[in-house]
Amino acid sequence: MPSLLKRLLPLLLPICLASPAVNAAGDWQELPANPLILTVTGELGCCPQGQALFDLQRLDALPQVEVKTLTPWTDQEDSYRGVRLSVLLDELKAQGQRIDATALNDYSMLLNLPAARQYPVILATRKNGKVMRVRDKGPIWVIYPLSDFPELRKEEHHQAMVWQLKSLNIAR
Amino acid sequence: MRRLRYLFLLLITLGFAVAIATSLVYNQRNAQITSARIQLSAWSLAQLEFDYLRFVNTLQLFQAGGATREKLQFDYELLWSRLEAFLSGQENSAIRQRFNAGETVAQLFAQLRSDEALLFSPDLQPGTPIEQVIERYNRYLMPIRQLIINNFTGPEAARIVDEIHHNQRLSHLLLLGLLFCGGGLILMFYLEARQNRLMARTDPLTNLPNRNSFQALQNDSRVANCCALAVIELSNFRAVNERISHEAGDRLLQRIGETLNRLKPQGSFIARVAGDEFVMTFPQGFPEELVMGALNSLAYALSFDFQSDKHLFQVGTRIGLSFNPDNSFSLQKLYYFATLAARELRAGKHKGLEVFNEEISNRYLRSQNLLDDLKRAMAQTESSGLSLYYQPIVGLVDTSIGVEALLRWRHPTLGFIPPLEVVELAENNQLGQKLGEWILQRLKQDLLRLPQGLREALYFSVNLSPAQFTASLPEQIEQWLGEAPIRANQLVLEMTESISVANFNEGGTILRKLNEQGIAVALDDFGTGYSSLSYLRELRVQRIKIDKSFIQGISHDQQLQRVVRSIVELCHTFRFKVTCEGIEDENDAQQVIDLGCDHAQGYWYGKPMPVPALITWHGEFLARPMLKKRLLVQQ
Repeated sequence: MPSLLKRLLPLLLPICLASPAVNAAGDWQELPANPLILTVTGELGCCPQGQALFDLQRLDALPQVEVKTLTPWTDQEDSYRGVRLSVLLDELKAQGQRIDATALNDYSMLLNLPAARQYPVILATRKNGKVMRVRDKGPIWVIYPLSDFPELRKEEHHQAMVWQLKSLNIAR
Repeated sequence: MRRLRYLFLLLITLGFAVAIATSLVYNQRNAQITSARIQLSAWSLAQLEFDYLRFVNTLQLFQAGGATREKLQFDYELLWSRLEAFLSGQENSAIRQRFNAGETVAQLFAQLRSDEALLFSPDLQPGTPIEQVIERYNRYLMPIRQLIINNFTGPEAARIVDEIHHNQRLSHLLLLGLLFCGGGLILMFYLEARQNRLMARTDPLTNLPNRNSFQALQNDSRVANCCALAVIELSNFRAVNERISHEAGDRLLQRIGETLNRLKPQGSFIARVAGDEFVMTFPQGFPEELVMGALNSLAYALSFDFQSDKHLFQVGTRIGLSFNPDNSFSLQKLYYFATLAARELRAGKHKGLEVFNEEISNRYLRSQNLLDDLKRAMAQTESSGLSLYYQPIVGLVDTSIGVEALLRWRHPTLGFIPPLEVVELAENNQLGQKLGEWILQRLKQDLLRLPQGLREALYFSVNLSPAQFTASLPEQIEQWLGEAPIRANQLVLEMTESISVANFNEGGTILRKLNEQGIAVALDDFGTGYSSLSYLRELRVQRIKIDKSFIQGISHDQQLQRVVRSIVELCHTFRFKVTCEGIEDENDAQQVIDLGCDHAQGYWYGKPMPVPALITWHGEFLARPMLKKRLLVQQ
């Protein structure tokens, strides 16, 4: 019996780790323990104050997706990992048709929400398994799966691939 | 159908135009996107300059103690990220290639990386003099600024913009060319269709409008828009076609088409409506005398000798004309009237011009009535007024006696109708074959009414009409002989020269087959047509009947005697027996005996007579002293 538990433990651990995060939905309004890397504002069902704050840990607690793609600013296909934008929006019970993404240098872009929901667009926090520094376009890079979906290879979506993302604003 | 085709064409054209318009729009958009690319590189350069300037600014602030380490490192990171993005990937590859931008930025990036240790060292505190570092970065100010300027206004940028414009113009030109080609295609389509329509209405031989065209004209206007209409027919055309060659006939027609075209008055319409029939209209207000004058000169111009190879033909025309007083007749009516006038000429074997009038109309109506009556008469077996009379043909050098069966029609109201008129009426209305059959049928009946002795003693000569002279004639005659109570060698078939000329090639075969059955063939009315010596030689006939115009008055005309003697001798050379027609008195009879004729026919021997009279005549003739004398001589 104990041997079985030992074997199951690696499988159960992520679930156990993940569930407190989900349960801690209310905590998103609190300032996180680690450096704040993402602020989501707007009409959020989860957060009556209209603001959800994330550090890397909180983002990592959400289901992670991996996207392998080439971008117009990189020379080879890299592996990016992060939470899917649509999943994050659902978690936050975000209601709205527009998403404004703003970068550390205050570059701001309106995202095409239907496309962002339809395709596995992620808020990448890791490139090739490594946390991204600012010089690597981190801490968060909005990654569209350009390699897998050729129809996304358009200027419109390229512009939406905001790097050094610091905040999202959701509006009706 | 044509409308549907045009609709289809219109759709194609529309599709074409829409496709071209869309292409133009897309082309425009592509050009815009391309220029957006330039803007994109401008954007990249501007971002690069911005991050660079911020970093240099922060360096200076840091030296002055106005910026924190974190701020400096943050800007360092941002610049790093910016430079890396500029130096990698597809988006900036174009701008990297130009103006040495890649190299300049790579140098800057190398500089940045080499200063990492210095700028991130824990010893570095705000206020630290970093003059040299600032100086190292200041060096890039001008090159980066120059890049931006070059990208916007440099010769390279201008070239790109020019190239884009050039390409755009070129593709516009190409598309317009496409549009032009499409337009040309449609124009060609249209012209082709028009040409086809025109060809359907044109006679290819003479390049004149054809019957279709004339009919279209008839259908288009209820009232003829002309003051007169002439029908122009060629006489003899069939003979040219068949005797010489169809090519010769075609040449003749071409020549006539040219003449018509040359002589036609302005505003008149001409068309070739049948093989040798042309139509010419005269425009409104054309004076009557001028119409007559024009047609007379046309008739003159169209009477010429037509030579082809060895053959010479006299081409003549018959012109039927009808006027349109007060513009009261339709084109159809006018054409009909003119045709009647031309028919009048044809029936009388005349050439020249005939103007339609009431008499012609009446005559035509009479002939139509006659035709109806003739049809009825042929359908009845007895007492129809239609009968056969028999005129004796007497042997001059032997005792043979034959009779020529001649058609007689006593019309119930109009009285005696000349046989020639009856035959022509039938021939002109496609009844010739039927009339010929009727004659053979009646002959068969009459033969049965003859006493057997007489029937076996006589031979019977029957006239063939042109319509009968076909490939099926020998078979028809064979069948008839099978039913008739006479032998084949008792039958002589008479045909005129015109029959055999008109059907010369096939004629030889027909005659040979008849001869093989033992039937003799006689050439009637010899001397009135256009027999040539070669023609005579090739003709498979056994008898020649010299026309009575050569015999009338022969007893006191030595020249006629010499002519007839020559004919007889010539015929004998060809082994033809000669029959002289029109013997009216004893002198004539003696003369033709002296000239060497073999057979004679005429009132002197006996008039055409019905069967009972023939029986009586035969008895009397055998008792004639003249005959007895000759019989004695021969004994």
